[in-house]
Amino acid sequence: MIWKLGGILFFLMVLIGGNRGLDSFFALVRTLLALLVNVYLISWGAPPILTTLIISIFIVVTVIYFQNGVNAKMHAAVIAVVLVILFIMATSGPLLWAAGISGYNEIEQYEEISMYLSSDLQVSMSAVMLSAVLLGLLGAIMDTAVAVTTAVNEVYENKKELDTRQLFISGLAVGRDILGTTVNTLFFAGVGESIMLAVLFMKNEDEFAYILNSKALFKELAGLLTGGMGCLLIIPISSIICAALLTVSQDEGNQPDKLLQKCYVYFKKVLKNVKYVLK
Amino acid sequence: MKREREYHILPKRCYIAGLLLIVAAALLFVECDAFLYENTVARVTSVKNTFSHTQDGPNDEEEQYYDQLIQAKVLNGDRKGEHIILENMYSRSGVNDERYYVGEQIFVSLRQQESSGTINGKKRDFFLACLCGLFLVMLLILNGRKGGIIAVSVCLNVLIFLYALSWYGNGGDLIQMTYLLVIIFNVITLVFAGGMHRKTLVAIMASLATTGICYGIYEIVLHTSERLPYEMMDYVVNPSDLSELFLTGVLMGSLGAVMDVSISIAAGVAEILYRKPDISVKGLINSIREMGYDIMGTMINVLFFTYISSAIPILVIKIKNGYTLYHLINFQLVFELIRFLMGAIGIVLAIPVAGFFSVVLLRIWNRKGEKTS
Repeated sequence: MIWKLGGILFFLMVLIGGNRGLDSFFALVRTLLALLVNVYLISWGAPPILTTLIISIFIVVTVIYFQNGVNAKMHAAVIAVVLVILFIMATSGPLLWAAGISGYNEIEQYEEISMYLSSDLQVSMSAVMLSAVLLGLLGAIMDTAVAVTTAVNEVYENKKELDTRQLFISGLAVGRDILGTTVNTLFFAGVGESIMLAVLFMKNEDEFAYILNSKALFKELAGLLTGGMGCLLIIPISSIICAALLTVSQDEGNQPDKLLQKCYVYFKKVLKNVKYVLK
Repeated sequence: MKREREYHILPKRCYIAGLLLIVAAALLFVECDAFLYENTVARVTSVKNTFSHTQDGPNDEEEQYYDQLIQAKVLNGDRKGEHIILENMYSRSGVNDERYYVGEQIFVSLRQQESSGTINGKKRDFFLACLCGLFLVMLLILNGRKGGIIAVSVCLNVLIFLYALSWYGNGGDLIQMTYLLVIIFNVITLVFAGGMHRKTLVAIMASLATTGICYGIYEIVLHTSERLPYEMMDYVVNPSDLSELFLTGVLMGSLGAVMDVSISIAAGVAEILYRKPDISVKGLINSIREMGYDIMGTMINVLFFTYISSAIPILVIKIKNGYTLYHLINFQLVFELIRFLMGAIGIVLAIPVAGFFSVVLLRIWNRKGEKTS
């Protein structure tokens, strides 16, 4: 069945998207393979979070650069994605860890399958769960970042006299239009995924207090909410970085020869621009 | 210049301060809400971990097990304030057990006449409230009024979903519920996203049509393929309605994505027609294609990562237990993949369907508007 549906999807994407549809389809296949590699590496004993970070960077770079080219706006998108991932990992990571999200939840514990699967694995399941949340987050923010930076670049190309602050604001305006739709997509995907769980809670006639504190509910919501937070954060961050990067190259007079020096000057200017916007 | 004055990057300071205050108060309340619970809640005051034993795993790993001697203070009920001693065992992997830390709140069942008991699990409501609070603060501060609208629409949808579930639990028909839910979700979400506007009506019609086509494709493929291993799904409930439940989940997942594509296309076409009322149909179709390319990649990736990533922990457990890739794809990942594929097919289909509806309807309405005026 998956092969048939996959075939239909391939056909439709090529029919409607043409060459670009073909590209996105193969990008999907590549990402799926990268995820499988990730899962196997973790199972073979690689540290879960580190491995996932490396694989995520690989995915970000291939998806963003291969599909959109290497240029200032895509640099901005990549930097923004990395920053948001680090920020979310720093804020909600410890929260998730403390809430205990490892391994089976209350319901899976008593399912047949978990009875005969060995649980002596030498892999920290909290770390694995955190990696899964991280990857879910990645999907939600990567493309929003690209959409926002592309739009900011478009505005800049058409009106070169705009300053950083104005570019930032146009990025925000575009981003807020995307935001509603991404949050909705995440929400309904979550509803579709958790419908079985919800029905089970209901059939078991569990108390509200039990459900509220259950690992099962927490895990479902953790993925959803961190994804949502990522969507919210990526919009201002990617537009500010893109606006700053674009206007930096604009007022670049004499370029220092050395790459490192150049990066340093670049970075200082970007910081100055960011400060100017936030005032 | 004029636009900039109207546009506030951040809302007013007092608004932010008020919001943060409310959220902080709510979090504090949740942290101290033990008195609301009937079950006994205790706070861990000290933990002593000692190495217990090792156990051989399926691939010659040595899994370490640790004993925990936990002291805790009861926070509610008749024996409030009493100090109790609890025991727990955890493994390094934590597949099937839990490790407790100092400061955490846990549920316990107390033994009579003894200062001890058994642990029933962590109290997670505070963490859940933290996540929700963080999300809400970001939504309202970074996105102002628009964020508020999104929050209201999501809350409304959650309430409807819960109501529908209780209706189903009281003996309602699942398939009927699904049809009704699809229509209600559709109308509510799109009205909130697009406002009372013609483009909203177009998007509602287009997404209903697309979801219908998706449903058709799903049924045809389902009946021409081998039976799905439903009993391998997570949270198997009741063997009789597994396939219907799965279908409901699939349709909900596609609906979300389809709606978003539809409203984006409808809004885009409305915008173009507003700026260039005399644009040719061919020009419009080209613009729709262009919009379609941009949306397609984005939305499909969102769905892909959301669905597939949630399966990672169980994949790791199964690989460790020696399952082959064939088994993983055909029995474990198959449900996630079908959900994803149906969502992606919905997204791609929604582009021409929404394009067709918006070109036909919006153009007709525009012409009528010209004649009457």
